[in-house]
Amino acid sequence: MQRTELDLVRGTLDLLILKTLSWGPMHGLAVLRWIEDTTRDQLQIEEGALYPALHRMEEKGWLDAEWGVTDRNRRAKFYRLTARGRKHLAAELARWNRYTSVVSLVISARGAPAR
Amino acid sequence: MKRVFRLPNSSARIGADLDEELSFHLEGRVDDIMAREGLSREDAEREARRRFGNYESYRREAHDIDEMILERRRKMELLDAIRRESRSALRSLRRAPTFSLIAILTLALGLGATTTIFTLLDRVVLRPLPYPNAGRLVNLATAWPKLKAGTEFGISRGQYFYFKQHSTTLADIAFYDGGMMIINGDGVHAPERATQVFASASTFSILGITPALGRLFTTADERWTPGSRLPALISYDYWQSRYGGDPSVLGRAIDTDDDPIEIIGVLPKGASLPDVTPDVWVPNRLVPSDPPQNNHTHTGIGVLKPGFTVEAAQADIKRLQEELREAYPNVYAKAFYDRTGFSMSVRSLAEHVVGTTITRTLWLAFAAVAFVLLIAVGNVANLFLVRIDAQRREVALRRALGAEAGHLAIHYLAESLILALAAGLLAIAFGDALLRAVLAIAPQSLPRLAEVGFDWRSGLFCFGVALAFGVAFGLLPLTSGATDAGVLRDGSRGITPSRASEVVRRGLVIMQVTLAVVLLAGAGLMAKSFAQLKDVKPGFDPRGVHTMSVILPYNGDTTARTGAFWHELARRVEATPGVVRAGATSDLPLSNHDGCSGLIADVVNSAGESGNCMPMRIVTPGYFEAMGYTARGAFPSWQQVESGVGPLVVTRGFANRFWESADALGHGVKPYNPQAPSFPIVAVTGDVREMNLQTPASQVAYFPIVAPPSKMPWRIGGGLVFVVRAPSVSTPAMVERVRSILAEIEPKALVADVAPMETVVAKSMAQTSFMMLMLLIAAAIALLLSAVGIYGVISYLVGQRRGEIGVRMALGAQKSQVVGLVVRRSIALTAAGVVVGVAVALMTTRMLRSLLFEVRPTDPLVLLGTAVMLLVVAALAAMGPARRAARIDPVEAMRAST
Repeated sequence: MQRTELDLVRGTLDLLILKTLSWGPMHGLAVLRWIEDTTRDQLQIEEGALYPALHRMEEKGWLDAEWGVTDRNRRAKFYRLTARGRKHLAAELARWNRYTSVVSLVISARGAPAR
Repeated sequence: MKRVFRLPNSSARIGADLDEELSFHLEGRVDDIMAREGLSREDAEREARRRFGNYESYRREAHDIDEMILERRRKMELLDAIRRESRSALRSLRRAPTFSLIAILTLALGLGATTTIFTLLDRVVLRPLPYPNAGRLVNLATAWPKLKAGTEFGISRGQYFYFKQHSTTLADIAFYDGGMMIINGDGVHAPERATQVFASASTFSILGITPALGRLFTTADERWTPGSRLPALISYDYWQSRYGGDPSVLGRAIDTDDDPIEIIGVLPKGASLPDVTPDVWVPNRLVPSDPPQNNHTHTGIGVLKPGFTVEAAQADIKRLQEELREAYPNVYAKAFYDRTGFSMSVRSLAEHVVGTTITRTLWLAFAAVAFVLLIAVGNVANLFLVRIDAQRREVALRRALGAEAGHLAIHYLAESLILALAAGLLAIAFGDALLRAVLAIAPQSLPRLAEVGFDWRSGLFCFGVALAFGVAFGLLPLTSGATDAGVLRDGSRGITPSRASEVVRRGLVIMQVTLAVVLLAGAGLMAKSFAQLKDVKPGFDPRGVHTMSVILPYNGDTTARTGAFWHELARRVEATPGVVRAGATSDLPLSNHDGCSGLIADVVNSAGESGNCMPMRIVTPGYFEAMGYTARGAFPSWQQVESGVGPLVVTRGFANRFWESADALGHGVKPYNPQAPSFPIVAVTGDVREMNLQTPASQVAYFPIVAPPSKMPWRIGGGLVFVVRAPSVSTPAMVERVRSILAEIEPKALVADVAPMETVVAKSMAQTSFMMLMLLIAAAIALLLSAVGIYGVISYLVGQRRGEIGVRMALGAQKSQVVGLVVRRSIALTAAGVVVGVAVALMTTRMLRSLLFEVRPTDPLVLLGTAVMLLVVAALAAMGPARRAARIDPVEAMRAST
């Protein structure tokens, strides 16, 4: 499979993380792996950026963080979406959809602009 | 996922946790990469790090966020704890409403009064004057101790110029004279009086005054000639009240009773001189080439150069005065120096404006309310102790069930802090109201009155003191071992006598009684002074006498014409019903006018003097009779005065000073200089207190309004104080009559400063009566609070000694004997406080000395009275507990104590 590298627009990272966590609590590594799987490795994220993002969203109250233990009995920090986080996710999704549909309008337009 | 570990709560743990999280991530990625891409561990690690990005930078970013989270959490926990404790404390306080209410009210009473006096003290005495250079401003004055000790006079123009030019310590000098002017009616406004000041141009820069509109004076303005139009500045308030704040007021002319003036500027709100707030400012006439004269009536304020002290300025000015003296020996002759003891005095302006008397009065008042506060605090402490005792079992139970001692201590602290804060709030409201009341009765001579008001400093003081006591009360439980669980082992009903507790209570009451004694002694001394002052016979009879200033516009009248006016006014007023006599004087008695003029008698007395600077008055016929003076000889009649004979009246003090044992009648006095005409003495009054009630045997000469025509030594301008004896007429009615008569004979005249003579007399006692009132109120409150305190302790002691009392009754003691026992205990306890109190009073009442009138600070009668009063109060306060003690059932009491 061709691996094309798409740089991630800032701010979209938050959206990706929130969406990923909407499936359930995960630690930071699991979030990354899920995104990797879902995008079939086509999205390149500088992995370190994940952690400031996660901590920032915890500070903002969108995520709750708890230390827990993985299946392999390793200690890891798990993140969970809060109710506020869910609301914010819904808002961001709506905004994203509006944004992309407006952009699509321009890109797929058939006529040239009137002079 | 299992929840296992708690969130980090320290800065160190944050770093450790973050490292663990990030290394977990990296290790997992290494495994992924190794599995997926088959790299070696080393290569995988490198690849993982590469894909991670700048490790340090991301770690730092996350770490900063974590620290923010931690700090926020800490704050929330603290707030939660405070909220929790407050609610719990409020709940337990609400369960004891009597205790809480009494504690708050008592504390608020003491705190409010103290804050009020603190506000006065702070604004008047402690705070610097409201000028930018306040710390460097000094007052230049002259002292004439041989003439009038203890008073300072002003400086002369010659001194102003010389000092200004040659001083090494003063950067500049302000020079001004205050006075009154009449603004004539202009069709729109009625004629009115305005306060006026003649000020040098330097005044404004020295006091930091800049104009709100227009410009200030220049030195050129100072060189005006009489009759020319003077530039004038008006005050902000005057601008608002007379011109409605109209900005086109610049350039407008004002018609006055003297030279016309033209408005060149408006001063900003609040601009004023230290001792007067003028409506109109005009330039003082300062021409450097004018020769110096011996006229030291002007106010001089200097500003020190940076780095120089007041003492340095004093030495400097003294030196310069010596130079001036040598340069002008005719102005500053040796004879003049010998006669008056003339010298220069330089003091800080603040000290001059406020004065030592006011400073001392306010500090004394502060001490008095501080005493009251301490007594109140004693009562509140007692209340706390009672409550602690009552809660002993409950507390012990809590401790046994696992409550930490620290937590209980915090609980008590929270309770007392809440009470203290509530008391503080109430105190501010109470103190503000009290301040208004105090200002209403305060002597008008209180300086810087306009600056006094409640502000953040008062609030800070009030809450600061409240919190301090709140903390002290909160720590009380620790002193009495209230958290000691040993109480549970005791089978008693829960009130365990604690040695320390009893000593503390006794100590508190003794402290309260001591303070109450000192306050009562002070109040008693002041009351005695006041009573004696009131009894003083001033040499005239103020009852039924109305006074008012009648001010004439100056239009170059001769004294004969002015005399005719006053004669006509008096004649018409005397023709109205109820009027016994009417007359006028230049200054009322007891208005503390300090000036003097050079008067020369026709003899040389045994001290070698034939004249001196003596107080003088100008009076019209009818004045002495209206005021009720008595005299040897006959008071001058209008006929005598208008004939130009110049009949003079002197006081007995004046006569005794110059003519000693000889009869002064028939002798003469010349005003100002030997070339003046001689005024023959036609009457000698009795012993008169013309200046103030405290100073006997004033030496005053009363000159007639019309002088012998050969030379007119004075100009009657401005007006006189009109005096009417009419006991059956009210003062407002009298004023109306005078106004309507004036409308007929002299419409341009003004009536102002209306007051019954009795009010004038009362005002002269204002300082004494103010202090007395303050101390009486403080003493009354102190007495009341002490009575409550004594009652509290005696009740407590009766409660403790139930067993003992029961035994006595069982052994045959009568009810009356029990009552007697309790009352005697109360008196004994109070007596200890009285002894200490009297000792302290003996040491401290001497501070009242300057305020007392013919009373010794150690007056034994007052001290005895104080002691007796407190012992009586002790007996009365013990009645309640004593009767309760008498009702004790001996059997039950004995059973309970075993």
